Amino acid sequence: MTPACHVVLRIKVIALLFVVMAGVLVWRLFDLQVAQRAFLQDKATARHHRVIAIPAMRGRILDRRGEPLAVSAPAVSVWAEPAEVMTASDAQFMALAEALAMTPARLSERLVDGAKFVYLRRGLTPRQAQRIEALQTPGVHRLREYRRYYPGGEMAAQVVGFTDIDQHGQEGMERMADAALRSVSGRRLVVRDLARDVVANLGVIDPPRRGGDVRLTLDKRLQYLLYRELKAAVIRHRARSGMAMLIDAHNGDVLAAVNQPSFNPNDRKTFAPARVRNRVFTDAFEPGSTMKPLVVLSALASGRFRPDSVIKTAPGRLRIGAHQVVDHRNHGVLTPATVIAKSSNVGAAKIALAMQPGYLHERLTYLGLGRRTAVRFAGETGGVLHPYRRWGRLGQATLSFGYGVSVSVAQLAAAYQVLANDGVACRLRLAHHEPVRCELSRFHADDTATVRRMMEAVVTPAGTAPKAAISGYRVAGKTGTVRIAMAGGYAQDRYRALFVGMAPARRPRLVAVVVVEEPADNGVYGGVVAAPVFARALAPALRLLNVAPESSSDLLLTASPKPSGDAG
Amino acid sequence: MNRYALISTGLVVAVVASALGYVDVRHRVREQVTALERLVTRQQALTVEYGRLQLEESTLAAPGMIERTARTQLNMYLPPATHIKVLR
Repeated sequence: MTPACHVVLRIKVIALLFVVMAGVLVWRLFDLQVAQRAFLQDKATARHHRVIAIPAMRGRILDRRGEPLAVSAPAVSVWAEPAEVMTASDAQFMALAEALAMTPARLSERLVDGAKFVYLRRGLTPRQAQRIEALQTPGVHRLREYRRYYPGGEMAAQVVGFTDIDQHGQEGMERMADAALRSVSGRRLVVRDLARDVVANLGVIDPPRRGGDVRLTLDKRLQYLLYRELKAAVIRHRARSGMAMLIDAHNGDVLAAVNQPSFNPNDRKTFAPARVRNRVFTDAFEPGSTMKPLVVLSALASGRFRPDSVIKTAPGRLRIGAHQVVDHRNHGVLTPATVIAKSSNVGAAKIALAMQPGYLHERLTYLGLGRRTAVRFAGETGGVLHPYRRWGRLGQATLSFGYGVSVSVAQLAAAYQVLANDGVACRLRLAHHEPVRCELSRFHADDTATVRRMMEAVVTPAGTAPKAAISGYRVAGKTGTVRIAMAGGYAQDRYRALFVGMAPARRPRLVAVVVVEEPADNGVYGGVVAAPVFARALAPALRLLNVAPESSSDLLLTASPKPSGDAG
Repeated sequence: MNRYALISTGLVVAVVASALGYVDVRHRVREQVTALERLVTRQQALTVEYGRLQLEESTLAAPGMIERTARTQLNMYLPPATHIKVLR
């Protein structure tokens, strides 16, 4: 072979090699890009595409001034794959149990065999969760969730209600406004690089739905004042329970609604049906003497009575069939005003009996008795107002002093709102987004003003509730002390103390109802048990609402009431 | 060099330049997206923080708390009726 030949051959061999190599490359390219295209793309997607959650929080519940009553805050839940956790060393396992504040025995009990997903702890703060994560136990993972917090605590617990651990409304407003509050977290698709940074946004799979805020008509400050005083009274008189409501006389806004005993909505261990119930709406009771001003108002409206009409109550007894209506003493000749001031049952019965049953029934229905209020709270009662054909004379008589009829605190407050607002009836409102609805009622402003004047006499040293007096303001009110109905009659020694009042009396801004059930110590009368709650809660409330004192001389009439102990 | 060679050289240069430009833009997009995502994460963290602060605020501003502080630490009290003058 000649050297030249040699060179040519070598060039050819090398050229061939290049061609082969290029061919291999082209073939590989074809293989990757065409033959294995789908498979490889799936692989890449699996490796880099991630579906991540778009968090959305449940809406807040706020008071009328925007103060939070229920707020969701992020929390972390720790979950485990039992099979994986079992591979952990003993030391790791002990450390995990300690971080979870569980005994190792309880922890292994939790880790049921075969389960793929077990919650170890829910609702941890991010910091607590970090401690657990730092242990790096195999098979232990974290999950971002939310927890509901109730800054109002026990004072508004029954109105606000609560959610279950999955943030679904269970009670109170949380349940009633659940549709508005509810949130749904969304999902989106992203591309992540090796450093787990998102490098491309591929779009939203499910859009998130952020929960809307719900504003109530409650004023947290007034709620606190009323709760503090009610709680103090329940403790002082060793009562079984208590309830109170404060509304705005001008528009029917529920400014405060409180119950005793209460519970801590931030601590599930304190939940008990008797504490969770929002008694002011769900419980109906016989209102006793607090019915009298409503009956007198109806009587004035009927035209059969005038403020100076004469009502003979001697000898303090009134026989109706086989029964007898009695006053605790002989009041002699009364007027509608003194019937209220002295709380005469005979006088009230005579007034009621002078009216047509149908007329009285219509008036009381008009004031909201026998039907639920516009709030329509979950489990709300409409009380009982029997059809007038079933009353009989005795029923009509006892109705006038609040037996044989039952109402809720909310209904009583709504009825007195008409009295306080010159006969303009406003529907009760608890959700701020609902419109204020007021209408001219069939009660004349002159009549309501007259009854308010009569009720002012109750809150004087000569009346039944001098303790309801507030320095600087005139107060109109009515006490009630009711024997509690039991199977087969009325208890002899179990009472319900009531006070319904409004202030300032001449141009009322606030209407409040206070009910204390079964006071045991330090008196049982409405004027002793319930009236002080009214005065102590409303004195600062009127100041907070910038209601001008009526006259400076009034300031000196009574001493400034001291607030009771702290409600916590 | 003839005209065609000139044009194709120019096109080759343009293709290479646009390819490099594309690579550059892709890189910058990635950087921006990453920055955006970091900000979103940060925003979420701040929302969390805000919620926590709101809770803390409402705890500190609880009427009972304010009343306690006013009475015990600041020695405040309700003025008796004799100390109040109503101006009209």
